[in-house]
Amino acid sequence: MIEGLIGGFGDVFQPVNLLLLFLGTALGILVGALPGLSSPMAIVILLPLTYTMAALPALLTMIGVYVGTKLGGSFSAILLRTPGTPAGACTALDGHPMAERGEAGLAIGYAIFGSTIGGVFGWIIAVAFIPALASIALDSSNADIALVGVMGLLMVSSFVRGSTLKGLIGVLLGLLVSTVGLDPVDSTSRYTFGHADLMSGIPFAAALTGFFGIAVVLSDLRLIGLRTEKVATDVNMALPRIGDMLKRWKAVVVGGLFGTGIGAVPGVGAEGATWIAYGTIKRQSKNPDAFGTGEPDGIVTPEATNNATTGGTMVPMLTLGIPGDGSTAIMLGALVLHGIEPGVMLFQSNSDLVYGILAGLLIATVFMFLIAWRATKPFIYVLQQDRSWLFPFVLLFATIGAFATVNNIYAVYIAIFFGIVGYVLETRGFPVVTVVLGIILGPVVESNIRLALVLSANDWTTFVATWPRQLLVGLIAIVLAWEIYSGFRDAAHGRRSAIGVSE
Amino acid sequence: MWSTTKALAAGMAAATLLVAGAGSALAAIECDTIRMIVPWKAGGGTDRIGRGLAVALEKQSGKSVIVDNISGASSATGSIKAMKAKPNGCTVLMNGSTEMIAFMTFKRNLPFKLSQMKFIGAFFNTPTWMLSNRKRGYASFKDFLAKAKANPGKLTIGTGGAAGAHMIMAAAIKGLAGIDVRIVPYSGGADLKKAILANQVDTGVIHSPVLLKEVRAGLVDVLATGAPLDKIEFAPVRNTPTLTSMNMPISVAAVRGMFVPKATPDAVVGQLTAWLEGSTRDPDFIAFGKKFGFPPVWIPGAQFEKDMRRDIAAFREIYDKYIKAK
Repeated sequence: MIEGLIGGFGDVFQPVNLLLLFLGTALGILVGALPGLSSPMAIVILLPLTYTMAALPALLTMIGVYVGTKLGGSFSAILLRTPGTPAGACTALDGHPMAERGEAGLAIGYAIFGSTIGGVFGWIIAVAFIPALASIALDSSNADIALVGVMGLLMVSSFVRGSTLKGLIGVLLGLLVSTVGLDPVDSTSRYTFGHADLMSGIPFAAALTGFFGIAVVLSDLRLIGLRTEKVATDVNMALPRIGDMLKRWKAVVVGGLFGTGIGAVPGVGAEGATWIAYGTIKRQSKNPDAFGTGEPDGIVTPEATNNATTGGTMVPMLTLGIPGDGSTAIMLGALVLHGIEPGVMLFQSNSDLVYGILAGLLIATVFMFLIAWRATKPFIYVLQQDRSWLFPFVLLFATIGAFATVNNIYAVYIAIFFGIVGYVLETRGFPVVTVVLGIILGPVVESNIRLALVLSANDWTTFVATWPRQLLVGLIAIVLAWEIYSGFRDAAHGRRSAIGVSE
Repeated sequence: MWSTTKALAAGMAAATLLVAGAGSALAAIECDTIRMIVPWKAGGGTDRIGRGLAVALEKQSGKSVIVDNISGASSATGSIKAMKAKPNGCTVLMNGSTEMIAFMTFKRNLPFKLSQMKFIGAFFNTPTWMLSNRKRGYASFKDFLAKAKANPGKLTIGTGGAAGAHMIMAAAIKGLAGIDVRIVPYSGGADLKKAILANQVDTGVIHSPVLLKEVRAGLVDVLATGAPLDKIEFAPVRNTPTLTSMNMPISVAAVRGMFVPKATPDAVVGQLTAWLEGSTRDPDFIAFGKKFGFPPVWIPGAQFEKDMRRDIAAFREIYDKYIKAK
């Protein structure tokens, strides 16, 4: 293993490979920062350009983009409240309030710090525990994934400020939206009204573009004409101090573990992992009320998580030939186009390439840090400008991004629809993030519960049939009991209503 | 001698006329870029084949060929878009036969029918196969059937979706062989692949050459195939029994072909046909195909259309008898 990695680093350190990896990472940060544009999109566009390359340089370019977009998404999330990528959406919760306090530089510093350390931590876990993670990736069954999804749904309370009822309505609305399309087991049409476009369901990325792009533009229209002075007051990179970083080790560890672990299990995805990690760290915090108001841990955790997923998703991709997300699916396609058949024998048949990819992943994370560091000032400068010309660009990229999810104008209508819905919900005090959580996790929970039941001949005890499942069910029960208890306790103290409006 | 010369001259004249005739049957396609709609997300099997074909088509046509992934509704969304495009040969559809007709089987009121298109031809044939993790210990398809009959309701067949060709083949096996097995429709090929590798299902139905590497490594066995595997590069599985040979009269294979809107002029169809057929002889595309698992094939448009119409009738029969009736 060590010898293989040394060889891998040797291959990546070839000047052309390094240059391609660097350029890919820089492109990834830029693409990630532009609302609506995402990593799979950029990788697909690059694909034809890599036909003439050897397999390793081609893959390194894509790895660079993949890693860079994870961080890039946080820039616009922090500065505009419009995440550049779905995986960056959670960062807006605390990143933007910090920016509004005049600490944009510091917030981005935390994001860069979280992403880099999380990425490196995730890489170390992924590389050190490849056999164990590969076995988790392979052996995780539908019942396990369903329980992880349910656990994620329970995190909804972490994103609810004020009315619990409104939070629950939000998540149920999200679940309702996720049921649109063909039933995953019986292929019955649900809420499609005879439209073929709706048969595949609501394109999640387009809905997200609406909620976080168009809705934010609509609600921030009042800011037009105001150069965002709050954000502008501190454009210097206020690097978090070493002592401050050390204090946040929990956020990095939790993010790294969730990112790598959930990333390694095909079917949950980086988007879900960031919310689950955020909810966990908030729960463990001594001051949970600070989350959502500009708490640095609320930036470090999701950023560490989404970059750690890059290590996690490499495990099923390289050991099983199974993609963990959209980007790795395209990378697997690229391998085939280069005459390499991914699968369980890849480590044996193309070990040089595998170690090169793993080495490239780590070096891309380092490049990401270096590039982002220098790019922060220009990003802040651009994104602090008057909304009257910034918003048209946001809408333009949101439109392109929504369209590119399925290369169909229908996705743009979906984005506009959810933009308006998101705006109305937000003005009425509904936490939009809970709707998004429902949309992300709804299909994960539904299809896996139903498949688990088909596999077990409708035997519900399948959900407690193994010790990991018993552990997950136990955790779910504890979280649920704690939520009910704290709901009543807070209601008694008048901090929030268990079922109604408060604050 | 005279007669020989006369015959030669007559032959040359006839050949000249034939060439001239052929020339007039081909029309210039008035665009610099051909948009090839691949109605699936980037990264999947059809997309990979489409991208391989695009390179070969560029060489044949001298034009840029771009792959446009318009996904959704089991490829219906992209297919509908392609059939609504201008019928000038600048927009073509590349899709797999079974995925189109399987979805038309499940959803019969789709705003898209075979009668709306012209068939340029098919160039890649990957039969659908039934696999099993070797640890399950099935010696053959007959062994699986015997165990299924001995354990009603216990065994499982995984598929890569609820409304596709995999589901039709699984339902055909269940119905035509008269076995009581549970069909598990995973959310896609990748999920089914994982379930087979993790030995979570007894068997899985998926398009070849998915898991070929694992078949080569002896981790996974091929039990049956929906169409002959005689062209597959990996020789040891070429004689896998077809469903038809085991008294289950159905053919299931992802035959990738090219389609254009019905109103496309014949001369344009002729030109596209020439380019597509030429692509199947392109050495690089042949090498690409062999690496993929199968060399390209050439099935003319008329034959391709006939095969698809035959298969859709068979699929609908299976659906009505064994899926809808359930």
